[in-house]
Amino acid sequence: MASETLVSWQALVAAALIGTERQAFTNPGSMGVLDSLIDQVAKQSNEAALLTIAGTLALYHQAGWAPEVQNVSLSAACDRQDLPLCSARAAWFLQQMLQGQYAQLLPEWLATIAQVAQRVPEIYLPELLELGKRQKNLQSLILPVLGKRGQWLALQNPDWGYVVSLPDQDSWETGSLSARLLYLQQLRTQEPDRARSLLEKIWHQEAAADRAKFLATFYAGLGQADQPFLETALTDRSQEVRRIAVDLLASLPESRLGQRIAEYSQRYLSFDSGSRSLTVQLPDRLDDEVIRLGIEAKLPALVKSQLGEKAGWLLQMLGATPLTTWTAAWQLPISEIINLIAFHDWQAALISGLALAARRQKDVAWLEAIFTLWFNRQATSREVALLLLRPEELLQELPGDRRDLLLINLLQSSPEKIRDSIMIWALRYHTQTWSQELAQVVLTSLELVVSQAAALSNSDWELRTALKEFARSMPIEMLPEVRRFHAHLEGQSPWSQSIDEFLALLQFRQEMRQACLLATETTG
Amino acid sequence: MGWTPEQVLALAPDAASAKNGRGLAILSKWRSLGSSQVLVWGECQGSGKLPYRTQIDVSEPAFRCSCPSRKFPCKHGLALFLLLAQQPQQFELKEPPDWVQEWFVARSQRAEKATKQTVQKQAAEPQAQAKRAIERQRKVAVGIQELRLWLTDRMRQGLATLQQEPYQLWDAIAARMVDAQAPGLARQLRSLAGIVHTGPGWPDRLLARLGRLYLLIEGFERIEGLPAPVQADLRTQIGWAIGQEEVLAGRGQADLWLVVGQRLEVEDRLKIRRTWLFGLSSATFALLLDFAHGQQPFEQNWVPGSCLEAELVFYPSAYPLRALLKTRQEAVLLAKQPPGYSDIASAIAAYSRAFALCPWIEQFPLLLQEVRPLYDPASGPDSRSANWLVQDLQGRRLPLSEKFQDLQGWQLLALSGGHPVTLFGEWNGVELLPLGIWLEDKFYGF
Repeated sequence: MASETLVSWQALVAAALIGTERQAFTNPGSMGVLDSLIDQVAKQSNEAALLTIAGTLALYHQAGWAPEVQNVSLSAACDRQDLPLCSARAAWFLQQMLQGQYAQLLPEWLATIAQVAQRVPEIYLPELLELGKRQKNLQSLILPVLGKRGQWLALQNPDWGYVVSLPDQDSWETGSLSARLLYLQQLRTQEPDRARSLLEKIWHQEAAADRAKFLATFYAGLGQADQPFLETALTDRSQEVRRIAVDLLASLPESRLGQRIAEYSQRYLSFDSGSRSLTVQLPDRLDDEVIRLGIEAKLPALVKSQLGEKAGWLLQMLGATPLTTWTAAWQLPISEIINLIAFHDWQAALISGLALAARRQKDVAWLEAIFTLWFNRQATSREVALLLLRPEELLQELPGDRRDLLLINLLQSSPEKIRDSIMIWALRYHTQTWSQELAQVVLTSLELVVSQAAALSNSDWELRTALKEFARSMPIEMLPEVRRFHAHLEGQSPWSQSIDEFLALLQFRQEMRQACLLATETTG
Repeated sequence: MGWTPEQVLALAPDAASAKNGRGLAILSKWRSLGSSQVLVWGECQGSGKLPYRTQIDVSEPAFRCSCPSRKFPCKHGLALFLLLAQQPQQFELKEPPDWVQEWFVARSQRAEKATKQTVQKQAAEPQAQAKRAIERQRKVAVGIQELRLWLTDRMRQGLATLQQEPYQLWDAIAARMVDAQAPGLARQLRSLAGIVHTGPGWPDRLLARLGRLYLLIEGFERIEGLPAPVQADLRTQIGWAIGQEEVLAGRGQADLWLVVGQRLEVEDRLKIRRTWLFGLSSATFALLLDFAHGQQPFEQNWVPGSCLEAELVFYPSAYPLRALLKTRQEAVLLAKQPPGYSDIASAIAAYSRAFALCPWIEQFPLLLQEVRPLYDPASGPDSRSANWLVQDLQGRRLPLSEKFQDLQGWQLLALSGGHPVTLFGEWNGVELLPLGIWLEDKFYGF
């Protein structure tokens, strides 16, 4: 833009803002090549002259504008050598899931593409990276399929920092609370001792709520070396911190806390091998040492109302006592102890306390026994049988194959229990694909429930909704079985639509899987 | 190369149809898939007893389906086309069944009939037409006098107070222009109303537009003495549509036209679609405009990135861009990078030349070779400065349009990988709106 006409333009805008009513428009002066135009409009009215000159000058500027060279160095381009792209068919499935259709299958897609060492086509990278920002559980699955291109792209958007910047020592010293937590968490899995000494150094400067969060990272890499530090945490001012410390110490095999509490619980709980009966005898007030060890004399109102004060003490003490104490002292197998407590007067405290101990000590046999006991109860008596922890927590501590086996056994003995909320939960949140055996049992149970139903009941609603997630865990090899089940279904069945969807999802998965395993040559 | 799923989905009338079409594009939903030359067909099991019969003539593409949906193309049509794009080997080559054959024959007959009708229509009542033209000329002249007074008033009262004026100020004069049968002027006036609220620099932008509007009506007053193409441009600006028959009577330009970009905009309830074509042997651009009301589908489909052998006729203009299709052959699937300007300076120089011939050009087709998209978080503090840019090898930059969304910006950047790409977009004199890029002969539309 020529500078002389720029000055004229500014004069025109000023004149137009004020208006010719207040200030007569005067010739804005020389405009080079446009001077002949100014002569032409000289005889027109003020307003006509202003509009004509403004219109012409604006067009003149627009026609004459040329971009200037800018000396800006650009960031380096991305290396063209990269992982092979996934097939166009596979990308097609990704696109559908990014747009929300069958989105629950995305983890499977990502894992399969990672398995064949391919990457996501460029065009989908922004949406995928954005999704990873919102859904943290997807991040570790997204990283392997980004390729160099995705890494390169993420570098340019701070929102996608999770791809490149893992928290480091610096973030421990200067980062936000969440960055520090993340750092500590990672360090606990790799170098738990260093993590502990880092935390010890700053322990007293932190606010109570933050101390509790930091301490909660100790579940990873927990070991005997943590014991002294955890014991000092038992004396912390914050009740929240003390509770976590007890939970951690009680999870530690052969901790001093566990040994001491075991002595007290054995005093209060005795088994008479003659009458084969279990007697509970609790003192009127708790010993000071027991309180120092973290057993709370005053219970939260909710627990107290369901359990009573003394039962609450028993629950806590059982929860901190090593489970081997009982089998050794009473010389009984687990199954018999279960029989003893199942209908005991103190059953709520006994079952819940032993469940808590099983959860903390990750004792597979006890976890299975207590879950089975609880699961086989009527819904009404279930409520009082487990306090302070959810039945799901028991299942979560079981190794995958044991959990499958447990579910198989439970379903085989009573297939209609597939409707049970906890069974549905267990099948739903199964992180991997079901084993073939489990899948078969689930399908058989489903067939039974479906064949019996003339009309849907309220509880079926939950199962129907869950079918969508079941289809995600079902091994694809079961597709012929599911097709057969679907084909035998009567058209009028209230389950038709749900089973249709169940089958469709499984078929989608199968086609998706085939597409993902296609050779990359078909790309484009 | 065949059709890509993206190209197919671009044909969907709305997002729901695209989604449903995608859902149905799995083999287990279909049976008796077949194809023969330009025809493909298949049967889709729906909720009813009988399957829906779906067929496509891919040469256009045109769709037909026995389902009751009023969407066009319907989800079955889209799904069938998607299957063809993804798994062409699943379509068995065979003689089309009767229900497909009938449709094909009926379509050919209809096309012939339509051509005949156009010819007949043209001859209708020249006298009445001339009378109507004179009447309209008179109405427009009256409207333009009114607009002149209104513009003069704006200058007398000054622009400073306009931010306090209600929208009514603009709407009233725009409505008057509609009455005066000058819808083009009405549209411009309505678009001016928003400029007042576009932040710093609005008086500059508004004055430039008001001045241009004034030049337009000045030009119209002297229209008799101007060359015919300039007259045509002025009439178009005022909203004087030239009849399609009249345009089609003109001489056609045959070429292999590459669909380089497409943009859909909605004004009120009117869908306006701009499709840009690039003639591979003539190296000229052509703009096809399609309109559809509300939920109505467009009559014709153009697939960005595809090629068609066709004869186009341009609307008269000092710089002809808008065109109509006179005859069209089969769509050819030719994936090819069109040749563009090798640098931004020469592209903008071409724009300047075009703009000097026809200063009313709102979107100028810009085909740039070897530009790098880039994201510049520091390209200015005020909200109007663009963060997304393209830069050529010489270091010249063009800002990308605000209409280009952030997600699209990241997609563009991801596709380029920081390497130069061939890009097509619409340049409005200030910002560039990218409509597509080519990466090694593969087209990606935006």
